Amino acid sequence: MESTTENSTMENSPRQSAATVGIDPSIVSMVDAIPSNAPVVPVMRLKDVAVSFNGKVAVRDVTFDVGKNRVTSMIGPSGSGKTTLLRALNRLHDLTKSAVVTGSITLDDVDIYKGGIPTTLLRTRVGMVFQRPNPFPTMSIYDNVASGLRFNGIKKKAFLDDAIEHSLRAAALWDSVESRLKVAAATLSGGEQQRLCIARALAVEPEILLMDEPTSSLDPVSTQHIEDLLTSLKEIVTIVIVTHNMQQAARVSDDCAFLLMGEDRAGELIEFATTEKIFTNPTDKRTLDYIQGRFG
Amino acid sequence: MSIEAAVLTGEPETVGAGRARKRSAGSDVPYRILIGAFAALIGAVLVLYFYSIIDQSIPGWQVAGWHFFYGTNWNFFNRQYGALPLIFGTLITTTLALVLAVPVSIGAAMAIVFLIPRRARLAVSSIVELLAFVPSVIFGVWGYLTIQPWLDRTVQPWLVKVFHHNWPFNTNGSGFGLMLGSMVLAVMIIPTITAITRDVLIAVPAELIEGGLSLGATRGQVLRRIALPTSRTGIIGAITLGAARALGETIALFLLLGALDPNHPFPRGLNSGLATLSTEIVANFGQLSGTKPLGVICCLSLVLMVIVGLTNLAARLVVRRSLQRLQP
Amino acid sequence: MTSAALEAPRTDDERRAAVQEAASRFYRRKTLYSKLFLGATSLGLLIAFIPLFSIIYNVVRNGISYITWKFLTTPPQSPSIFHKHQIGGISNAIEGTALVFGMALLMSVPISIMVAIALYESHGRVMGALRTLLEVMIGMPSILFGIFIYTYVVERMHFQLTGLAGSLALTVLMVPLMSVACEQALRGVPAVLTEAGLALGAKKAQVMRKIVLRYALPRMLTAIMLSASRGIGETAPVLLVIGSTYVANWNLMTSQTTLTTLMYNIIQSFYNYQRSEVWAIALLLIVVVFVLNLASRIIVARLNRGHR
Ligand SMILES: Nc1ncnc2c1ncn2[C@@H]1O[C@H](COP(=O)(O)OP(=O)(O)OP(=O)(O)O)[C@@H](O)[C@H]1O
Ligand SMILES: [Mg+2]
Repeated sequence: MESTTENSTMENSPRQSAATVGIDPSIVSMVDAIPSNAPVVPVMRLKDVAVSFNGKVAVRDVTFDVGKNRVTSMIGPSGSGKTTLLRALNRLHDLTKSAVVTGSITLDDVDIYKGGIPTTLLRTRVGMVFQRPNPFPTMSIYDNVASGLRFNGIKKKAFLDDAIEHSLRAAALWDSVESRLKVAAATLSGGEQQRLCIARALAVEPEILLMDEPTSSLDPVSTQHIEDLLTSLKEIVTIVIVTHNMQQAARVSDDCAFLLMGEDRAGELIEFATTEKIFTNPTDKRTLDYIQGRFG
Repeated sequence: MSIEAAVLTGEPETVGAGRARKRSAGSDVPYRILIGAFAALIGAVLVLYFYSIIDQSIPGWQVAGWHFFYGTNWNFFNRQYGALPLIFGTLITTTLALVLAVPVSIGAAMAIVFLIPRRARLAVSSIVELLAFVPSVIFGVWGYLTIQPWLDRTVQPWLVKVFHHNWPFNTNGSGFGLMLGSMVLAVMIIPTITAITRDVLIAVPAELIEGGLSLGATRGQVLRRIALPTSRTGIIGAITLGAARALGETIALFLLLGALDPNHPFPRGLNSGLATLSTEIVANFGQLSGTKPLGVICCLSLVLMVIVGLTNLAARLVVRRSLQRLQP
Repeated sequence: MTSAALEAPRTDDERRAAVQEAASRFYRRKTLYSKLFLGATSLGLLIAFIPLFSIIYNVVRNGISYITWKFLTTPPQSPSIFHKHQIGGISNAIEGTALVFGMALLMSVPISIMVAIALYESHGRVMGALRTLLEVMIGMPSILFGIFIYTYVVERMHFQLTGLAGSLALTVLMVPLMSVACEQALRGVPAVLTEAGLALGAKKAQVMRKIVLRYALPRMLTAIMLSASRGIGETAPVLLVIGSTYVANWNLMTSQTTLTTLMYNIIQSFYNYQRSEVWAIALLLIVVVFVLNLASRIIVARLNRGHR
């Protein structure tokens, strides 16, 4: 990672520019996910996206591209619409009758809200990990990970066995559960359950993995585990992660979207840029204020 | 311990509250005696309830003996007290009612929770539950004056055409009998099972549903593979409570089951008449004279009480445990 | 790796392609399956609705024509071959229900409230046992309450078949449900209120009367109304112990006829016209039960809205 830092195309080192604008250097020192020179390939593009409930806008004016095999983080104060926006990306708002999503969200240039792709198939390509670990309580560890594949008609044992080992390995859980795959998932610790949920999401081989504050209910050690995991996971899947924890955003993400509530209490996208830029040299004054801890 | 828990367990939460309790302890005595007296009164009445029925059944056991449990010749008027056909009648009507009511109730509960708009949920489930408050004699009347003629005039000729008097429609039906009784009984327990199943399904965490959907599952798959298994024990409890209600149903069944055929004490088909423990209690109450027949009636009551009591107790345990388990 | 893995895809891209291909192949089946499943659940809901509508339809259609002032206020008459339509009225049953059920309410409401308070205030083993006992009683077949009153009050205490015995049967039947429901209403009172009262040094009895009962009153009212709507429709337990009468005599110490026992007595009548009369009684009964029910639901809905 150090070597990538040296490859940075920025003229100043992050630490220096941060010092000039008065950002806590301890946060900036965590910005190690500096982009490589590889060109950014957008896999999902959001354009003027807005979500409203019962006609009341919860989040709006969101335009940015999610880069392939990158980690995109969404930060912002509570109520700024991060979760709302994230859930729009795999159409989970469809469940809520009062929710309306406008603007366009495209996956590989197909608008996901315009019938170009059936919702259930969209969700196999855009998976989700939730704030609280939610393993299916009546299923074993094995069945939990297999569930997504089974929902999609894959029943062959050989295929399942292999896929389950592969995704449990990817979630760094294989070694500790290999001997007890048939045990109820509820017997795992909180951190293990969250990794199980990651493995379960990975098993259907999504192109994008949405994560809503995946570590907020976990202890520091489990949090560390999952953060480590993210860096290796982005080799195989694009990640969009909501987090309250700025250090976390700085540590794990390549790009960062900052959302904030406007005058009318509707969230809006203030700034989208590389994580490095957001944390060292943000364009918008409000971003800077937030990074410096001037909002709740 | 939270304040709420403190109130529930009666432990003083804070020093201040503790002091307040002590200071007022003396003057609370009359109050405690008063409510204690009422609790004791109702406790005594309920104990008397069990005692009285058990006590009065003793002469009955002396007359009927063990024959009561395995004998198949039930004829109260002729003092033949083999109650096996009645026990069987109670169990078979309930079983058939469950077979009809369970799929309907679970389907209805799932539709209420997952299908219809949230705003309409309360209204729709209130309407279904309203059925639970219809007095059972009205179900009896409805079965007697509406469903029986319909079975007799419309369904029966059709059944004859299809089954040619073969099993299970082998007896000459007037409409009264096992099928009519079970159908109406099913209608009576649908609201019970639906209401509890609905509560259990509502308790299924939204995260589980959304977790399933996020894996590409359809709504049907999520309901079948996640919501139903998660609430399995609660649903079993709901069914058991429904069964308990069906086992004790009296007036409606009395009106609808037709007559027990002494030559065939066990129903031979769906059109056969039969009797249950509770219908036989009502049927013979008018013929009481002397203590001995009352004793046998009390034997019927006692057996009914044990069957229903155990079913109920089991159901309550299951429902309570499953609702607790789902609470985070 | 096991040999099974050999036939599985190797690279990440192959894996993804394999899953996505399988998923799109399965898409139509899982969608169809889902539609069928959801269709089946709606069918269940529909079927659950049909009996209620059928009952209400039949009760109203067949019962409404009987209901006249005269029908409600005159005693019944036996029809005969020559006067098939001579059935008189149901004043005896209206009087009987008012008397028997009224007396039952008079007994069961205060008892239930006191038992609810006892359950609310105490927490020992004994109270736990009492609560379990009450819950078991709620599920007991109602006819057994009739048997109990018959064996104990009529047989042992040499009582006659009277309205009062019917009131007693209804009382033991309603108290368990009413007291458990009332206790739940008491539990709904926020603990801060009672704690505040106790901290100020108020006696428990005062806190109960001035704070808890006052706060819980509407909910207790609904609990009582719901239990009462159960009790008023009961037939079997009353039938065993109250006998029957043709006259409205306003005397609890004589035999009585209630709406439900009258229905039971005339439904098997030889005369069609008299048999159909039960629809009219059913209509009266259903109106009373539904009004109680609806009123209590409206109260609860109001309360919930107020709290939010
Ligand atoms: N289902 C819903 N119905 C109505 N309003 C909703 C719904 N979901 C979210 N909102 C509203 O949308 C706004 C944004 O909420 P959201 O949960 O997206 O914020 P957030 O940024 O994720 O906050 P947090 O950091 O606390 O998780 C809030 O004002 C919320 O009240
Ligand atoms: Mg959120």
